Amino acid sequence: MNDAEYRRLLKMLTVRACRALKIAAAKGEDWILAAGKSPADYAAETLIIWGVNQLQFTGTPEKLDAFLTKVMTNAIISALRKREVKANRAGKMVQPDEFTDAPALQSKPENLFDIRSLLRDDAFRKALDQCTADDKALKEYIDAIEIFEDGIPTPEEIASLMGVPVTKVYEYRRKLARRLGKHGFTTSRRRSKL
Amino acid sequence: MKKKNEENRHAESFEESLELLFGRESDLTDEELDEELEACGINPAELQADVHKQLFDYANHHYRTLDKDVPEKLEKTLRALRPPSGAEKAKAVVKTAEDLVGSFLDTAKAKSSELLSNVVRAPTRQPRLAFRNKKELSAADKALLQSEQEDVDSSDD
Repeated sequence: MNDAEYRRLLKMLTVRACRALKIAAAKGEDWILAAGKSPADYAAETLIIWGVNQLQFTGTPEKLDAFLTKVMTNAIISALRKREVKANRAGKMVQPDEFTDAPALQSKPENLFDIRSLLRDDAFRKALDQCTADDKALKEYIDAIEIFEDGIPTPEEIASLMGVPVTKVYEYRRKLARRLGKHGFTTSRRRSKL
Repeated sequence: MKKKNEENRHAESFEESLELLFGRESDLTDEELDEELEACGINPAELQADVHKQLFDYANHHYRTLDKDVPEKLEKTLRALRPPSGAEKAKAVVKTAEDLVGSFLDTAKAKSSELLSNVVRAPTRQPRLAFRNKKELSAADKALLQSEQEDVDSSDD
């Protein structure tokens, strides 16, 4: 990999972390940016464990970015699963010894992982609606995804349903990612304790 | 083992959801990646500097201060993410300025040659001074004048 490819890899990892954390944050008040780490912290952590040979990767160089992205997504999911990162509705961090049985603190992240459950989640839906309010086509894109009850539709299937060229679907995806990114996201400036 | 499988399944499902909603990160161009980072409030140059610092601190703490060699991959990543020095930044500014001036001059040159070629191509309607100042007209000149006069008269009709 050359220097430019490393820099691109860092950007891809950070964009993935932003997307994953954004969904987690938008989905519900119980889930905050996991363990107070910023997207950059997750990307750095992944590059470190890769750099010090803690990861076994046997694929071709072109598959490295997908592999590291998956490793980082797993790390984010693991962090979200930890009891101590659950917060109350005001967004305050709750330490394990302060943890109560309050229902608000007991919600599971399971419905974060499945697209159908995610789209049915009120808080996430509200965030999506706010991001697509002024854009009819983007709203229709979300509606089209919802129509497919089973499995994950391909861009071609969505395009065919919407009656638009498939390039439009890619455009909607990029637009939605940027809009959700802008939707009340604050990055952490805290330095990680690696 | 069961827990691990479940975690993997969730990770896979979550990745599918992310891809369905936003597409693959690897499909984005460098400019689109920058745009999305900026939409999330992250300056790409600051991100690189921040991550470089984290990696640099890690390498110092776990290797250099212990007099150990930094693993090759970490060393390569550090080199790739190293933010430009003051001198490199200044050089880049000079290069940008030179490129700007160069492109301005190229545009000016192209425009001026385009204008010049238009001027050259424009048909000249000026009467021939040598003919106008001629004192004695030959028979051929008179015949030419006569035919021109007839043309003018016939167009008036």
